[in-house]
Amino acid sequence: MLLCCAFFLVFGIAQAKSEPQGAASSTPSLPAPWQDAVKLLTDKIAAVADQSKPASLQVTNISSLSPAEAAEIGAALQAGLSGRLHLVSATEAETRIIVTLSEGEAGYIWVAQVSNGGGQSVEMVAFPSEGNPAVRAVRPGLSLERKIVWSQHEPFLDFAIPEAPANNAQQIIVLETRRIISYEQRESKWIPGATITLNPATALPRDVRGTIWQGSQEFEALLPGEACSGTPGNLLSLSCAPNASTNPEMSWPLASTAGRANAMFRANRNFFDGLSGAGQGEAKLPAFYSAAGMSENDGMSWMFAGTDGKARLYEGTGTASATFSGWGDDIATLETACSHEWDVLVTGAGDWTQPDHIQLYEIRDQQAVAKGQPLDFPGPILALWPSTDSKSARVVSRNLQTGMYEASIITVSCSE
Amino acid sequence: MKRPLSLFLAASSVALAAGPAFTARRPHYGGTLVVEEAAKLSSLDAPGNAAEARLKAQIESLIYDRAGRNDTSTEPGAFRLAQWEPGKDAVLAANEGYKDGRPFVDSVEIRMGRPAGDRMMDLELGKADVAEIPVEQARRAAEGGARISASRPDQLISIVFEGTSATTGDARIREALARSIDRAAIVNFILQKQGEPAGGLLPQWSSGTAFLFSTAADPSRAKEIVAQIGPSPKLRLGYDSGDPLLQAIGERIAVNARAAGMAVTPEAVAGGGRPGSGAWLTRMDMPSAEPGAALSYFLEQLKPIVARNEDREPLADPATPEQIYEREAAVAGSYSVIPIAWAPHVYGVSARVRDWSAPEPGKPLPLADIWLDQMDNTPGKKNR
Repeated sequence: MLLCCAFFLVFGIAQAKSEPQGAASSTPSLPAPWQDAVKLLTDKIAAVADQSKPASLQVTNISSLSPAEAAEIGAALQAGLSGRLHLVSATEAETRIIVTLSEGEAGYIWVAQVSNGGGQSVEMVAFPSEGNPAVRAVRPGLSLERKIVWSQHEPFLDFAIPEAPANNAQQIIVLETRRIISYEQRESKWIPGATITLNPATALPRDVRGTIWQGSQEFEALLPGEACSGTPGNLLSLSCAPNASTNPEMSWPLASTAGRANAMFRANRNFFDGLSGAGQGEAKLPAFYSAAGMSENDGMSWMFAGTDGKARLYEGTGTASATFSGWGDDIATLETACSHEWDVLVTGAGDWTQPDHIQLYEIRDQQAVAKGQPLDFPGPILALWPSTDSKSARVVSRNLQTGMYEASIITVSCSE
Repeated sequence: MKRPLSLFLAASSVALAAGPAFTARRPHYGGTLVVEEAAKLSSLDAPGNAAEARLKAQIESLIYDRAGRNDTSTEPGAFRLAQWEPGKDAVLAANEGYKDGRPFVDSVEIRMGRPAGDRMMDLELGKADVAEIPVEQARRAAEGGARISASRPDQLISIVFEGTSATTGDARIREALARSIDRAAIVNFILQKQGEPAGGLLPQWSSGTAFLFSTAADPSRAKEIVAQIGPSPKLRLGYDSGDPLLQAIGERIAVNARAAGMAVTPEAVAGGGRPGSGAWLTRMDMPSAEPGAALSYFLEQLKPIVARNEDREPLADPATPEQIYEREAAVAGSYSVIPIAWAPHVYGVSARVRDWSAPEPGKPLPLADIWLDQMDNTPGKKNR
């Protein structure tokens, strides 16, 4: 319940009336929509308050805003009003202004109750509570770092950040179920660019998955029933072909420290049927959701997150040498500069209605040892793919607090 | 030591572990989901009461590709009707080619006409996967170990006054009754803290302005108003005879009213019809989380009933937050409607159900998105 988190900010310090009007606009620490809302609300309050009478301001937060954010907004409101009204403490005031920072289905709604003697006016401003899809860094753990690079309302399957965009502007390519679209950052705004419409040959499964492979020479985007390939950095070079609907299997790439391997993905379900290639001939394994591969001097090892909920380690034989339980379904190798061991990112168990996390494990002597603190996500992780060079990982997750789908890059910091 | 991949051998099949229960995040396909419902539906063509209409909408949302309550599309949905036993059972099979993806479960069995006690028992015994639980019994079910899931409070329990009654046409009587009611006690004791007191026509989570409406009882003011009216007003308060929650709330309201000097008599009315008494205790489901749509719907529902002509006017579309608040304030201020409480829909869900979330207002149960975890080997656990 939002109301359980209510707290009060009371502003009763008298301010000089000679401060310039519109001071609320000079609050650069607030996001622009909040500054606009503060300005609008102060205008509305000033229009109904009796400016000849001393007034008090009380700000209450019953929304999901943090206490610090609410305090900033309260300070901005006070600054804005102090130029127009004679603000005093509540005991001296003849006009009482109570601002409630509230929130409804449509977003934030800030309500001012202005009591002038016997009458009361209610003024409000409302605006969406969603965040801007800005790049921001989060450093919640000892070793894992998450950088959110994109967010949007609509679900998406995977994303790629071109390494050498054409005009040096920051770009992101987003794979959705019906299109591939690129965005370019210009003057702090993301502008949609080229779009490729997808026409998969088969009905998409409910848990639709998709992946992007971005190599130095090739760029591929795959989802059930359709495969696209082209050159990196040029979305318009993509050529897409539907996968024959009679063949439910597609060859999808898997990254490992040895480079690319291929696995057969069941296009009408959500798992891989087996693994092939990797330069060592055909091999077939029990069905799995995700894989982590590691090349070492003496060969190649793989770990598979099976559809039975168990992760199994295969060290070159057809028999699992170790089994791990309690993990989620997505794993990925992460090669770090601070360790010569095999490190694997592992999502948490649970389901898509719950927050998630990623834990880094070191695989050594057929045991998995947790390293550092888990990296928490405010919602389920929907996809975890290693980068082509396994130096980082891409994560698509859903933020249960905002409802937004977020793209993140996961790396390891050696500074712990 | 790590050896080359070439030593991998072909696996003949995908063998799912038969070990203990486990959790996994990515959905599994397969299994039959069992849903139990109180309503009985003899045919999809002719639903009767509100509960039957709701069940009809639930089934139709699965077999037709419908986006909302006003969508009448007959395009194939996530499931197809595989078996129909009027008033008893409906079996829906997964539509392999559904445009939004085949559902995770192979089939859904909907068992109709299951009383609340039987539903709760079946959940406990593992014979049912999803069943709605009476909100007033949710706490007890949770304490008994049931897995309970509640929606956001989206049922408005309120008293609606008909304009034709001489007694309820007096706004002072309506106001006195409104001020006498201890909503917090109703929520705490009857709803077992599942819900919240209501002062306006929209919940706080939807409008963001519900805090502007007082929900506190004011028995002193109620007594003052009653004293001004003169002889103790007498009021019959109708409620659906099949709704024990409304009966309990009606009786509580009568106690509050008596303390303020009013005589309120709860009156069970068969079939959910309106009584001739002029005051009607009812519950209405929000049709949408969006405040403007929800308020418009409530006003439309109340249109033939409420006392004042002004309260029958439709809301602007689209409406601003100010317009929504002003309209709510006008209706609440006229006491044509006395909001009592917001209650959630509460569901019991079996342990094997995954990716469950209680439906949003106006939305059906998300049965196409649910999947069933691997069955465990717990003795007595029915393995469907």
